[in-house]
Amino acid sequence: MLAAVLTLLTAQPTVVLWHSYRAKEKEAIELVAARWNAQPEVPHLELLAVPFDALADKISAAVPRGHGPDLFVFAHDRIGDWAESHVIEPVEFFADEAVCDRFLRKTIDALTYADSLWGLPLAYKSTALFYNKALLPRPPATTDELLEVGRELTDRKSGRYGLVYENTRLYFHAAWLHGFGGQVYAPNGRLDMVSQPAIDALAFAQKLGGPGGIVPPETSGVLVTSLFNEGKAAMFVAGPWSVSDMRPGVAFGVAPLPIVSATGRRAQPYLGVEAVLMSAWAHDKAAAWRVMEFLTSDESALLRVAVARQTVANQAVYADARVTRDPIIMAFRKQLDDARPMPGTPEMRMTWGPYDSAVSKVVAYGGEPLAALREAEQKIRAYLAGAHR
Amino acid sequence: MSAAPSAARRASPPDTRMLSHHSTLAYGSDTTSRTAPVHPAGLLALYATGAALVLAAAWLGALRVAHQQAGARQLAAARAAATSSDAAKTRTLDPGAPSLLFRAVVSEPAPSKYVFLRKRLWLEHPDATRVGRTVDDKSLHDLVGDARRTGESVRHEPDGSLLIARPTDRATALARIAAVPAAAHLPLGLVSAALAAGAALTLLGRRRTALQLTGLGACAGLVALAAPAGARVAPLVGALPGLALVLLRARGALARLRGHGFAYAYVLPAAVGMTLLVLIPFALGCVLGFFDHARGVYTFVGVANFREILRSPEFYATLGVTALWTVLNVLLHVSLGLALALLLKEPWIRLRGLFRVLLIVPWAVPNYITALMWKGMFHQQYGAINTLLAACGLGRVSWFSSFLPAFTANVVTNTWLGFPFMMVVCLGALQSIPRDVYEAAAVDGASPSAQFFRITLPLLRPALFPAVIIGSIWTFNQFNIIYLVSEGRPGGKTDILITEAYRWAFERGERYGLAAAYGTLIFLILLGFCLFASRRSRATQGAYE
Repeated sequence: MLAAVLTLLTAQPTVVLWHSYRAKEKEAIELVAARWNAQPEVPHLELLAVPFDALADKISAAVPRGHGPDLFVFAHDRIGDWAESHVIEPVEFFADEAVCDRFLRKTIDALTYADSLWGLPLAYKSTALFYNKALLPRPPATTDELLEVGRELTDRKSGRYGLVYENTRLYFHAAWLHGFGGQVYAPNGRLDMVSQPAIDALAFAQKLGGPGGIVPPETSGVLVTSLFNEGKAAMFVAGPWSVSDMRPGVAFGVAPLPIVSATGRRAQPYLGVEAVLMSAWAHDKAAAWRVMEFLTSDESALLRVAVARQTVANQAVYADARVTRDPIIMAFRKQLDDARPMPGTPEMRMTWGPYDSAVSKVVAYGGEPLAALREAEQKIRAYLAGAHR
Repeated sequence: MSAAPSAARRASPPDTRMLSHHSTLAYGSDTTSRTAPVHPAGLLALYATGAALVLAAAWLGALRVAHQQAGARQLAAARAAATSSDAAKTRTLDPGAPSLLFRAVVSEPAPSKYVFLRKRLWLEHPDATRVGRTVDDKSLHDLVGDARRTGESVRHEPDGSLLIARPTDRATALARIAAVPAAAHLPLGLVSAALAAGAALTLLGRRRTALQLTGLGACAGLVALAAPAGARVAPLVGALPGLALVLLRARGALARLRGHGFAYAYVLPAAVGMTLLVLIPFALGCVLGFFDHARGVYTFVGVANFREILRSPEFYATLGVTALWTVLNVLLHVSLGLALALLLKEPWIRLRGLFRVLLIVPWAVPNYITALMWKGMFHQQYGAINTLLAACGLGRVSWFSSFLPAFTANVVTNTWLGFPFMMVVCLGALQSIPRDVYEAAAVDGASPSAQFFRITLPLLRPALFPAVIIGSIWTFNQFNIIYLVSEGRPGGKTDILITEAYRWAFERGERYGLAAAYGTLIFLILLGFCLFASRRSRATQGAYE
């Protein structure tokens, strides 16, 4: 409030940034912003924390009417929507090779849509395998091993399970899907969800989560976290966001997801790239770009790692001894090599619901994989047809 | 000017005036039969208004055509310049065409590993040889980039003008179509003012209602046709005859307003709030049902959304589930609430106050909290309900794997939430039944069950009826329970209309129009139900009075 009044009084240009960071990550971005504002002769950077659930809708509603922030932080999977409806601004005009080379290639690629660059990456987030070191000295390297160890550690009577993950959601199932060689959309954008690999992946998920499996029924985010924290689950598929949910005292390690034994390929989870995006209505685009560049610089990235243990997108950070000593960050970094950017297309957003139901039908209620996939495909095609009239 | 209303006030006492306003149908014929003297000034005003409207419409139409033609000319000139000037970089720019900004020469693709850097263009300005790297150039750069990808690109500039880019062989033609000058919007303002003035004047001139409305409607239609943003303005203008009708009807109200100014002043804040928060969103929602939304663009599609909904078998399945859901819930709410109210009324129960408070607690807790608690209790492995069932030697139920258990879970949760309201209503109504009626019945030898069916129920009915109607509407639109407890599982089978509408808007490709059409249909269904129920209730009330 005081800051707002001060900026009004001094009539200094302001760049407004919306983000939905909490706790440590919020602290980190505020520190970076303070560093920016401490520089002489720069437009003032003003942060506004918006709850995550509300951020996307607020952006979609406010920006086309000329309101909203100059910059905001969001995962890359909405850029397709926002680019098509002129909510966000392409930034390749400002960029050059040196800036782009700062980042891990995969994260820059995820922010490319329709041959344009739509933001600069802050961090990447994908799932990996958490394991309780007290129950499991060494994480399984293959899915066969995962099943074997998991069965030993599972005791349904006493409520102990080998593995927990939200196994009825496509977001988590996708790792197996890709590991078996399947996909939802082909690279050219064609829907390609009914295939032998997709069926195999569902059958595998059923083996994990069905009767006699190693995953408890009706999983939810809160439940799986608390099971892992209570030591009732030995392994846990989760992302960097779960690290701060771990109870102090639980000795856990993080490793890349196992190799799918049937195909010899590593399970590939979805990759979400958190980026600073520029509003198409930003007041001073050149100034906004300078802020973007500062927020994603190597120095800022190091600060964000140090404060929030963020899995940042800058390459140079992973050569820094302070970071390489952190086994958790390095495990996520390793997982990145086998992670697949979530499609940033509007089509993908119509896919989650039906695909989730298909996974849930097979994994939780013993449905037939092929039939479930066919049904979901039919629904998605109907939605696609409806949206592209 | 004020002669006519004051004459009416003198002619009839206030009471009968009020009555005649309530019988709306009679009122219309009443005005036509009262042949008012043709007021020459009013007549003149009507004709003047009509003429002004026609003129304004013509003006707008001509303006629009001229604007379009200018744009086409500019684009053609720009294109010719862009293609012909290729030779030796001499810019054959037409100095008379300020719209032509520059040629975007496709420079040699930069050798870069990033596709977006490869496609970057360097812009060449007509006035200098500078290469664009300022922010002003950025918007042009992006526009040209878009045009090269899609064939043509149009951008709305902040000043209201349009920039059009179209690629030719080696360069990109660019035209700027200036915005319609602000003065051009003046006629529209004039038209609105004229309409309002005309409506007011003709009202005072006491012309025949039907004639006036036809005239107004026709004029409004003309304006809607001619306005440049016809599509956007049409609903607004189309609403004006309706506004006129309201004004006409409000004449009597105006007279009353003068008498009860203070009362209306007190109501005003609430009325403004209701208009802003309820009426306007409601009207917008209804209008939205006739549009299709794709990527931020709304197109008018007529009744296509409604047709799509009414033709899909899923809609009828969902409607059936919704009806079953509502009937079952309200039945359970009322019977449980009534039973508990009858119990709590009994004087022999100790700690009645405590029980009453405890039973109202479910109502006092925010319902999404309750929903999440129940969802946890229905968990197959760790839920309290399955633990109880297992302790009783029964098997664990997988609550959300098929329709019936999932639906039951929803109903149980909502019953928990719903009965306290009915209980409170019944408790209140039971207090108002005089004791001596029961005493008299007991003397006559009526059994307790006869007393219940012949005295308690009929006397509760007037209080219960509105509660049942409200309860039905709440349950019909009980989004939280369905969305949070069963989440529509299995596979959307337990979804009701309101959650289905939500999913169309936010989970299936942002089809806001379709979702709005769902909303309108829900409203119509509930409106029909309320009309039917209130007619029934009036009929039954009459029978017991």
